[in-house]
Amino acid sequence: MANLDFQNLVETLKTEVTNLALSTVNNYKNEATADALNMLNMMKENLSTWTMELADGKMSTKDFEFLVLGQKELIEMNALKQAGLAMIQVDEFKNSILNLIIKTVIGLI
Amino acid sequence: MLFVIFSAVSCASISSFDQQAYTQTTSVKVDALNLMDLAKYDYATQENNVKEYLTKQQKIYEYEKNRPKNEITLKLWDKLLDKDGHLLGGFLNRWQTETKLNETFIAEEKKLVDKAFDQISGLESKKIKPSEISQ
Repeated sequence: MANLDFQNLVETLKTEVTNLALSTVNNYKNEATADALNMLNMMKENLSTWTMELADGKMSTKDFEFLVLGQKELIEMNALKQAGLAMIQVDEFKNSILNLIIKTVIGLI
Repeated sequence: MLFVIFSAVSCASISSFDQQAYTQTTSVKVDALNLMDLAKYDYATQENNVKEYLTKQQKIYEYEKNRPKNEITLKLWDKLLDKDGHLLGGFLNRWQTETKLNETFIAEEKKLVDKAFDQISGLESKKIKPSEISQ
């Protein structure tokens, strides 16, 4: 079996894993922010439309309240989705580390 | 040492992508939105359509329930289908109770339910494909 320079291996992995972690966090942060902003814009537009429709007598107060509560539940669903996306990022990160270790070790042999 | 690292990182936190779940979710979404349009009519005249839809919905829910590490997706379905809530489950419940619903309300509620389904399919589509998982 070929001799492995473990010190070199650890140092290489340390740098690569740090870069990988930073890019994973940045990608997730950007996607999550965009998604949350989209949801916020949708809520703003909806509330404006519903208020006008309520004032014009196109819907009842009960309809209006139902929609507002529905919007709240949709935001809760979005938060759950974000939690799921974060878990996917963790799995992708772990997956990338595995590939990185395999690639680096093979490269040193 | 490497074995320990491999063991620590190879355990998934969430289910991987499932094409069948994704296809069924998007298919049921179309059926649900079409069914909601019928809420302008008397519930009693549409009961067969509702039952037919609920059977499809039940099938996808059972499928999702039996997938390992699928808790988040199941919680999303529970929110969407909650009869006491204000998304699809609550809408169908209200239709049954009040016999028929206002068309403006139906149109606005459909937008919310549309987005609610997108949360489920959006999460599924981002899951790691089984072929991309390191063995």
